[in-house]
Amino acid sequence: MTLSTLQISQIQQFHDGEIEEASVSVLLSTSSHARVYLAALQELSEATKGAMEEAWEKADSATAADDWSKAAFSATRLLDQELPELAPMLERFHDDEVSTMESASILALMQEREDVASYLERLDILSDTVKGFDFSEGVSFDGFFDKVAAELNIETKPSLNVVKLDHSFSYEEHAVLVQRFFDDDVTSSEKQRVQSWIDAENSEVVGALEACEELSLATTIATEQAVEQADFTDLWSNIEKELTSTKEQVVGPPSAHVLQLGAFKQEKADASFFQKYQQGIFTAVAAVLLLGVFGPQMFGTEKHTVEKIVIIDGITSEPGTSVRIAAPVQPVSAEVEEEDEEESTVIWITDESLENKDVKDKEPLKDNETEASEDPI
Amino acid sequence: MEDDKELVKQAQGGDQAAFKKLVERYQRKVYSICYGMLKNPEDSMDASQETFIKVFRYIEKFNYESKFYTWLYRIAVNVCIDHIRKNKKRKNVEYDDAFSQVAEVGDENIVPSTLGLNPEKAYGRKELREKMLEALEKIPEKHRTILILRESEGLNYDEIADVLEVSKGTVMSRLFHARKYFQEALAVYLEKDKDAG
Repeated sequence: MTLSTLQISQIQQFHDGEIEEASVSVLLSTSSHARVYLAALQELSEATKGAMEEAWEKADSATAADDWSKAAFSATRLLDQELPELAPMLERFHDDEVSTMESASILALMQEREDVASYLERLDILSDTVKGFDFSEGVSFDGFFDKVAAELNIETKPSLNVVKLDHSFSYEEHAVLVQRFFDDDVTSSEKQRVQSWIDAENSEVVGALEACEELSLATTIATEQAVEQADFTDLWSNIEKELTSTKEQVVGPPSAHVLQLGAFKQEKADASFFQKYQQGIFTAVAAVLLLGVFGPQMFGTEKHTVEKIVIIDGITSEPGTSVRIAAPVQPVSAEVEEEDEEESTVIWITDESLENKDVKDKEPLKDNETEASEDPI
Repeated sequence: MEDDKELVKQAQGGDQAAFKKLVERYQRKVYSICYGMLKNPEDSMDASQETFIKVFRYIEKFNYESKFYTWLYRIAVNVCIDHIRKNKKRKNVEYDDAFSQVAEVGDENIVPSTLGLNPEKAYGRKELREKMLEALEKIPEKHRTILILRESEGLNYDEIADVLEVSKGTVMSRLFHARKYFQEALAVYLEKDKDAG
């Protein structure tokens, strides 16, 4: 019996970790289609992950998530097919000539269909036998067909439970896989595959793994040798010294923050002048207008000469405080926009009650206000 | 022993003692990575120091999306890249030297045979350890770095990809070639060792 849309959806959700196993446990225990569907999804997930990450190695292109569902569903259809119908695909699988989707379907199917697993195993045996003939000298071809036929006859015998997928090993093709096996970064099917070569005492595989072991040892020894020669006694004290100076920088005099404002400007140097200072220009123009209109009321008869305008993105101040630009001010004009950056000017923020008194060294721009966008790495 | 996360949290709260523990825990590892990239003890120590200073400055921004050590190693790698850029001229000379001493390495696989190293012998002989270090120093920087991250620091492919900011495929490819280079370099140095002995 095939799966309903709801059941498919439930299994997908379970596969994606969105629902608990309890929600699908009955379905999985009673429906072989459900089990095959889930297994196919899992195989596809592994295969796709591999294909995306190992595109440079022999792998199919990445499969979109939507296709997974279709592919997994097609695996459930295979469940109902007779072995002879499946045979061509199984033989292509044996020859490593299937797509990622087909491979996933067959691997999923093997978990439910003993005859499929058995058929593949027999293909392996047949293959080994054929290879045996190929590499043996002096073998008469008279008995070749009989031998093959004898192996083929195994098909009619009861199937075996043990699944053995012993794909042939080619050093050129599989060297990376062997190294990934050494690095423990293989899927379960890949692990099985390499393990089968090891079990078969494939000298190239065993030799490559020994070489990896040896290189690992040599790297570790070489690195330890480098570290052994190093003297770490001053490392912490030097770092501590730097940290202390960092702290001083954070709570230090305003000049430190002038430098940071400069750094901030430098950081924004790639943006166009107007883009960078759009807000600041408007602020500055507004400030000039305000000074012109309300200057006398604000500052009484005291004369203030506007010599230079400091362009900033914004100022944060507490209620009850005013912003006073104590630096020389210059008028904004089209020419100014074309000018290069000049050195930064200190902006003093003073309390209203201190107006017209000496500017105090307080409320500097905070460190994180100027470095917020900086990439730590 | 407090785990990294605990120490990082404390350091984020300004606890310098916790930060010191992190430094002591990782100084040798960071130094190894720096040495792997810079090949010079002084530069490596400077880079290690700079790495930890950067870590302290930006530790508030560490958001636990990755393991602390991969974040730390990424900073170390970037610090070293900056060092290399600053000393590009010198680096080029060293590379030329490296390639002249190591046999030509193509795309072939590592030789599936051992060089006869055994741990007891290798660890016991100082001169052999030094030969291994010399051999490691002779392979290109990016391959040396990846070998150290994998073999000495034990990072998996995903972590290495994270540290080096490359794809996992690049990690596999680069590691594959790194082993080949190192095997070649080792063969040259161990052969010299044999001749000398």
